[in-house]
Formats: sequence, C-alpha cells, structure tokens
Amino acid sequence: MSAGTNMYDIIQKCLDGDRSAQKHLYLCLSDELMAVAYRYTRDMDFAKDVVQNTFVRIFYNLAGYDVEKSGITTWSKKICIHEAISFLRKHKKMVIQYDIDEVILPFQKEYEDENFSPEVLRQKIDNLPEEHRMIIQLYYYDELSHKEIATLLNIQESSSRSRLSRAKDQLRINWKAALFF
Amino acid sequence: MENFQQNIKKAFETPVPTWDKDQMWQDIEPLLPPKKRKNRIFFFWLILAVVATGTWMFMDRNNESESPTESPKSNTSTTLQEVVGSQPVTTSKNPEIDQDQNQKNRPAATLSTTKNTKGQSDLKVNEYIGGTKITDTNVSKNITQNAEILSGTDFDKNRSDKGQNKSGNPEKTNSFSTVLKSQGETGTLSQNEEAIMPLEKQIPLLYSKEKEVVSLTENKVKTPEYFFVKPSGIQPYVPQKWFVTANFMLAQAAKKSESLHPDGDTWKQNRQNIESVKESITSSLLINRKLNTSFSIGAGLQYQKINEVVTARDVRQTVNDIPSDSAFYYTSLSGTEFFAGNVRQTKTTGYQIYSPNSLTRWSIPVVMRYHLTLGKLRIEPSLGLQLTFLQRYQGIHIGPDGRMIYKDKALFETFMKTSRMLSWSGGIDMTLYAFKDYEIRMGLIYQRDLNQVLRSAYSLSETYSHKGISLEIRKNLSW
Repeated sequence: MSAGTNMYDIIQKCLDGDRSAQKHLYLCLSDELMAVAYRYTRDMDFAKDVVQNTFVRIFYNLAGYDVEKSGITTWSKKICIHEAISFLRKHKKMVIQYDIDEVILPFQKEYEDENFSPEVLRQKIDNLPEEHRMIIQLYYYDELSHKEIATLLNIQESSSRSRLSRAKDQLRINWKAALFF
Repeated sequence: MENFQQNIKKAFETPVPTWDKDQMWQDIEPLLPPKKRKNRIFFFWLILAVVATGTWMFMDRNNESESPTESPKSNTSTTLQEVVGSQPVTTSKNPEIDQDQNQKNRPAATLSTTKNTKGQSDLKVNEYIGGTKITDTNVSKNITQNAEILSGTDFDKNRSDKGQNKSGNPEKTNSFSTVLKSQGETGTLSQNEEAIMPLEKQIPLLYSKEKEVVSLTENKVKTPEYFFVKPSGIQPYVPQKWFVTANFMLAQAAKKSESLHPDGDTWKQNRQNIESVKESITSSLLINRKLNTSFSIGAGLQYQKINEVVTARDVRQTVNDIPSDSAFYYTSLSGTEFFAGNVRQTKTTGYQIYSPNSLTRWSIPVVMRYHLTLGKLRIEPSLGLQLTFLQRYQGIHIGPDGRMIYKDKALFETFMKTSRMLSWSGGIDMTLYAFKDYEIRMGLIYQRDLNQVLRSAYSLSETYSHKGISLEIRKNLSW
C-alpha cells in the first residue's frame, strides 16, 4: 500500500475484500484500539481479545461506515469500546446497576492532602466502582454523549447523567479534588 | 470542567505494553469476510448461455448429419445418384412384398415395380421417413424414362421378362446402374428417338427429373420437427388438448429489504451484511389445457424452498437474554460455548455463527403459455401468477440493533405472513427431447414477489426474486 493512498481508497479496497488493504487499515488502527481496549480491560490478554473482535466487526460492518459522519478512527474506537464493555460483561461478570440509590463512598483520608498527578488520579478512578469508573472514562476520555453511553450500557439517558453525577461526587469525596471541577 | 477533562485524559494515558501485531493479524485474517466475487450473476448467466448455445449447435449438427432428407438445404444439393442411384431397385410381382422389408434396413428411398391389373409393370418410388412410406407413380415413370434414355432399352420389358430370378423368387433387386444397362423391349422413347437425341440433351432431362424427386421429398413428406429431436422409429410427440407438466426449477434467489424502522438504514445494512440469500428450489405439478393452437393455460400445486445463510459475529452479549429454541455455538479464543435448541446448525468458526435458514412456500400457480414454432425450434414463453397459501421460516434472524440474534418459531410466525402472498413469474423454454406422449423441456425463468413476506405491522419489508433454469417433463393426457 503506497503512502499516497488515502483512507477512502483503502476503505473501498477493504470493502472489495483486498487483504493487503485490510492489513493496512489494521496497522493504522491497531495501536489506538489496543490503547482503548487495554484502558477498559486493564489486562493485556483481554485487550487482545477485544481488539481482535473489534477488527472482525469493523471489516464486516465497513459497508455501513459513513465517511461524512465521523472519522474512521472515531468510528472504530466506538466499536472497540462497545466490544470492551461486552467483553467485561461476559468475562468479568460486570453488573450494571440501573438504580444506584445507595453508593458506598469509601472515605480515604490519606488522599486528601496529596497534590495532583495523573498516576494518582488514575489510581483514584480505578478505585471507584466499576460502573462509575466506566462512565467517567466514557464521558470524559472517550467523549461520548449521554445518548451514546446510554445505548452502549443499555440504560436510560437520564440514568447516564445521574450516574456520572454520582461518580463525580464519589471522586470528589474520595479526594478533595474540587479544584479540578 | 475542561481542566478536569484534561486531567482525566492525562490520567488514562498510560503506556500500552508491546504486542505482536503480525500474530494478531494472522488470527484475524481467517475470520474476515471472503473476497467479493464480482459479477457473479453475470458470469452465471454467461456460462449458462454459452453452454446452451454450444449444446444447441452440437445437437443440431448431429441431427443434420443423421438424416439428409429432413433438411431442405441438404435436399437442394442432393443429386439423383445420391437420392436414388445408390439405393437398390426392387422389383416385385407381389405388392405386399415391400411392406415386409426390414424397417431397420429400409433405405430412405427405393424403386419398386409391381404388376398392375393390366399385367403391366409399374415402377414406384417409395420414400421412407419416420416410418411412413410415400409412393409416387409419376416420378417412377419419369425415372423409368430417364433409364431408357440413357440405356436405349425398354426397362419395363426387362422387368416382365425377368419376373422371376433363378431361385424362383419373384422379387428381383438391381442397382440403378444395372437397370440403366439392362435391355428392354418397349418404352416411352423409341430406339429411334434415343438415337436422334444427343447425350448432352439427355442429361438435362435427367437432372430436371432429379429436381422432381427432390421436390417430392420437400413438399410431400411432412414430418413433425422438433428441436433436438429426430424421431426415428419412435412415434413423435404431438401435443394434445390436455397435458400435465412436472416442473423443477433451480434458481439464484435474491432478497430486497426495505425498512420503516427509525433505524431502518442501519438495520437494513446490518441484515445485508449478515444475511445472504442463496438458491431456491421449486417444483410444481400443473394440469394444462390448450385453449387454441397457440395458447394453453395450466394450474396446480407448487412447492418452493428458499435457502439463505446467516453469518453472525460475536453475539455473546445478547444471546443469553433471548428466549430461543435455537441451537448454536460459537468458538472464541476462550473456548467453545454451546446453546441448547433444536435447529440444525453447521460449522462455526471463530466468532462467526453460520446458520442455514430456509423459507418454504406452498402455492397455487396459474400459468399461461404461448406455443411458438420457429423452424426447428419450438419455444414457449409463459407468464404465471402464484398465490402462496402457506409459508414457513426456520433459522436465525437479526434484530433491529444488528446484534440481536435469535431463533424462535413462535416469534417468526407472529410477524411472517403465512398466506396471501402473491408472486408473478415469466419464462421461456424449448423442447429438449420428445417421444410418444412425453416431452422434456428446458428453459429460463424469473419469479418475483408482488407483496412483502412480513406482516404489515412489522417495520421491515422483504421481497424475494428468483432467476434460474427450469426443467420440465410434459405428458399428454387422453382426456
């Protein structure tokens, strides 16, 4: 595949079943998608499984991709996120609670006076319950809308909003990080 | 807010461990869809056309070489020597003797002499085509005249002098050249006339008589002509007023989907990606009646089975939530999982589920045919209407979100139409072989649904079409 070949041509060739074009697209997207998968699964073997599923879905559904609506990377990432969440549901028995009336907020004093660092913030987010961690990741990092999150997690759009609000509250309580908001 | 988002992004930007991309690609590649076969339909019809044309030409050539008397073209180039000269000339006092000839060894044309009521010998040309004997005395006289012209002898006298051979057999067979050399006593032309007429003038007379013989075979011998058919010793097929047809059709089926669902395009796309309609097999039995010499109408019963294949991917997130009586399994990196059910399933590889689905229909067809004869070719364009009174579907289906895969007979029967389906069909076929009361025909046929196969309340419409070849066996009924 020559360097001058644009993505549109590559996609067209992929649709025709051109294996070299498909591999080219795979090489273009694999790093991004592996990062997404690893971020969600936090396990390299699981991430590989997710990425493999993602590429199979991408190549089967490539005909439905609208080049005018979004970039191929964005479109692929959404598929990857979808795959990752499905994978977690299946293999890690992740339970999505539809109504979180009571959230246990482990108050951890030792974090109160710590200064911000990405590693520490990541650690605090990782300590959140699964559904809170997931929604923060989806909304802030992957920049999905509440509507998309609702579709992805099979919940109501209002539930997505309330869950994000609770997740932020919990993070705020865990670590007095009001300055970040 | 933006600050928080940036911090979150920074927090999640952790380095990804290295991994073997090539190895993963090798794992992915077998799971990818196969390369599209372009113009598959075009090549299918092209090959069919080439095979049909080649068979036609081959069979047509064989027919011509087998019987030179049937083709007018070959007749015009036939010389008298070819038509008569090489055939044995049979003389017989007994008129019945010719009928006792062995049918297998019977030549295309023979000359025979028989005693008439006045004791004179008559020479006759007997033409055997399709087991039928045609006798023309006038032509016989002309040939006798030619024989006398060339030989200067009385051919008829020779016959009467040698009424019996040495063994006492009343029949005597001579070659035409022998006849020409034989001596006679009387004739239409006298010996003086023969002596006066130069040989150059006698030859055209001979050839003009040849034309008469050729003309006889052209105009007076009427044999049924069929494409690919050369009835030889077998009674030819003649269409009767009533006939029954058994038809078998193998077609390439296609499905057109339209959706009124809010996510109709996505759904349709997902279905098209996952479902692929394959072939359809149709068999029907019709009783037909000829309305006049050109048209006939038939009605009966038709069974049709449409096969399609669903190849789905990674349905793990939904299958557990779906009440189903289906049986399928999938194999992933983590192993193979099975789901109970009673639907036949076949090989599954990777994350794919492969399911042969089938749609069966029972219909009442009504077909109008037009009988057309173009030279040797007997073709019949037809137009039909099929009313489906029973329809069944079995297999895996795809839901609106593109991921929902289930199979539930009760559910299908709630949204599939089970009756009042209407289709039309058009076709053209030709005689392949015919004998006695039977005829075998082959042709091309197209069928298309006039309304959708799903209930109107359902937000998806599906119509099927079929393009294929048909094989038909026809039998006359003696009603």
